[in-house]
Amino acid sequence: MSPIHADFFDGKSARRRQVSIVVSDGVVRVSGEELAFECPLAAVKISARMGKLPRRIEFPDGAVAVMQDNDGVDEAFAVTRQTTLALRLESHPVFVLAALVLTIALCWSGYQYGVPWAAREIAMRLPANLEADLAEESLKALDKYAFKPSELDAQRRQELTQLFTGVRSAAGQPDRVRLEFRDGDWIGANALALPGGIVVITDQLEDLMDDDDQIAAVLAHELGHIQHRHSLRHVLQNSITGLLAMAVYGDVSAIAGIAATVPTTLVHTHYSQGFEREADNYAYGLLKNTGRSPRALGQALQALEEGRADKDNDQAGKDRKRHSRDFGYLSTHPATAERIKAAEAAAR
Amino acid sequence: MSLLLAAEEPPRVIRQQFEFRFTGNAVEYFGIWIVNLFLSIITLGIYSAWAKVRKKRYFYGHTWVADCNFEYHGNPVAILKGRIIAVLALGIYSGAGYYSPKLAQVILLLLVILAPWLIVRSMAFNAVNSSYRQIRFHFKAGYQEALRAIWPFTLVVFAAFFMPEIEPEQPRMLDTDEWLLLFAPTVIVLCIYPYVMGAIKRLHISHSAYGAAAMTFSASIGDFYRVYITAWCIAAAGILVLGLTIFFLVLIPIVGWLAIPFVYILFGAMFMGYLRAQITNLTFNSTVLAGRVKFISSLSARRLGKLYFVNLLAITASFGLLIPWAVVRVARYRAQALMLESTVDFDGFVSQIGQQVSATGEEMGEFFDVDLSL
Repeated sequence: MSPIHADFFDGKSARRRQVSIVVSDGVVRVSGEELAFECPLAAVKISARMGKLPRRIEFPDGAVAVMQDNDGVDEAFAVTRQTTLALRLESHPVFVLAALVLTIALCWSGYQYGVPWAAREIAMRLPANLEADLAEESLKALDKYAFKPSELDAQRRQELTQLFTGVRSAAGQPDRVRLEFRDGDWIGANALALPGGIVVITDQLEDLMDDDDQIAAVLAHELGHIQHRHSLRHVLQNSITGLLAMAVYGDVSAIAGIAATVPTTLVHTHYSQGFEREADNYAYGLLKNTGRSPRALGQALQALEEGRADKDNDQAGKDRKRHSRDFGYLSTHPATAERIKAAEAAAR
Repeated sequence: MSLLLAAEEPPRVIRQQFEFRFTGNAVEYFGIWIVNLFLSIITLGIYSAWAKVRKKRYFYGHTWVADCNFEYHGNPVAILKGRIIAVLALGIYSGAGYYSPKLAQVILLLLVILAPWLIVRSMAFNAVNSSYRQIRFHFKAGYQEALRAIWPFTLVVFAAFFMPEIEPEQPRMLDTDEWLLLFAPTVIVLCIYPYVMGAIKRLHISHSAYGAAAMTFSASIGDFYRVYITAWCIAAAGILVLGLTIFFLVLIPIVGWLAIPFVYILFGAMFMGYLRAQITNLTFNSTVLAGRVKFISSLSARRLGKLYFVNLLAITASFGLLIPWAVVRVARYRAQALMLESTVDFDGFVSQIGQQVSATGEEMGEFFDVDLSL
């Protein structure tokens, strides 16, 4: 067998010596510049193969021989393929491809099912009053920057509160879940569910709805957000995906941090759409339970859509609308037409 | 090996130069990277410590100078311990943030107090687990030395902790002194940042050794201020140009809008390229080993910036799959721009450098790595 050429370092100084190594009968023989010794094969440690990385043979006294000839080392030292799992995987194109496919599949299913599942499990286990303070804080902030006091008269408020209480008790949600009225100002016709259980509807929404069934449908939808703890899950999902993205992309330090935000934005959008569907489905059931038709939600959505269209009737508004259609996949709500159709189907 | 004899006399003064080389390649590293990622995912992150060791072994082992390569010896279990502690700390911190922001702040303060210790531990772990020609590197500095480098940060965090909050009851215009108070943190951080960065580099190199041969660092804090202030001036001019460009791009429907992220990424990459190139050059060019061996780093800000720009686009477009390719490209260029210069016969000189005997065993044994990059 031909000797293997190696660089030898004794571990005591940085001196490099060229040596040749021969292995026979379980003995490693090293010879070269001012150097000749033998060592039992069983006493040396051979580094695992990794691509074309030079191999290192460590001797018991801390000396090391570095060799470029990977195949020669495997042959001479009779290193069978009994190496680590990682090595076996990364040295075969087939396994690399399999790892690639599996990794993509894992990332995809983790994103599709794993993260939402984990967020739901965690959210449902956290005590409910945890969020209560959060709701008051959010309402305060909204009052400061967006809302104005509601101009609805006391009687109408009482009617709507009664309507709300009816829907809420049908939903079996606790009393601390309450309804608030506000003038939407620049937010316009809208309804919001704040994390701890405050539902806000704007005067503009009340004005836009044709009848109280439609308002009940909107309220039921918002109660769905509360029931399923969407805001908490939203926060959790964002932090989980953020953490995972960091783990995957962390390899390239800060520079990839920016790149990593792109997929995260898409993820965020996808999850929001899922939440809207979940709240819609919850609303259908609740509407049926209170003797109303799920169709009311479809009608409410229709009215909201038309209301926005009226507001958008000037040229700027039309442009805005066109673009919002162009970038439909980026919008946080599923297409309204789709949701109206779903409401019709639920009514049947 | 390139051996240049200086033309001038006396003949005993020689000058040898050795170029660094990176021999890893993207295809090979892709296999290692994807397997690392896959195993890390299915083991819920536990394997990531082993993955880190494999990655470092690959990059160290493929970095050559004067015909010899580097070697990484880190123990995955030590790294795993460090990571578990980091994850726990992060979990406690964010958990505390949800229940009580005050508690989270206290934890943050604790972390700031621990920071000097974490820094020296991390530097020591990395040094002692790196070798060249089977001689290990070393880093020896204590809490006080590290605190001397980062004290302005420590002070700022403590000051911020006790600073009054500006939260007007009603929305109103802020007074002049309130505006000053509002911008003070940013200005202070900008003022101290170059000091801290320079002092950390100085701490790192002037307390490092290759075997028994100590390293010295000659750059002053002023040199770092010069680099950062130039970088910020360039950034300020860049932001102006960026703003104008975006303003015009907004006017061009679709095509112009789609171009905006590219302009933005280009700006970020060029800025980062400039800063990294200058800081790396300054750091290496001020480092001398045992008074005999110098480093010469000649990274071009423009080339590094271009490299970052293409990397960012490639990583984004491939959803991260081109990360190995991007990392290898940067490693190759950084090595290509780095050189060793020796005023004595390098091989003879280096052969006399012995292993540092003092307490290497205890240094290596019980460490856990603190991964500050996380």
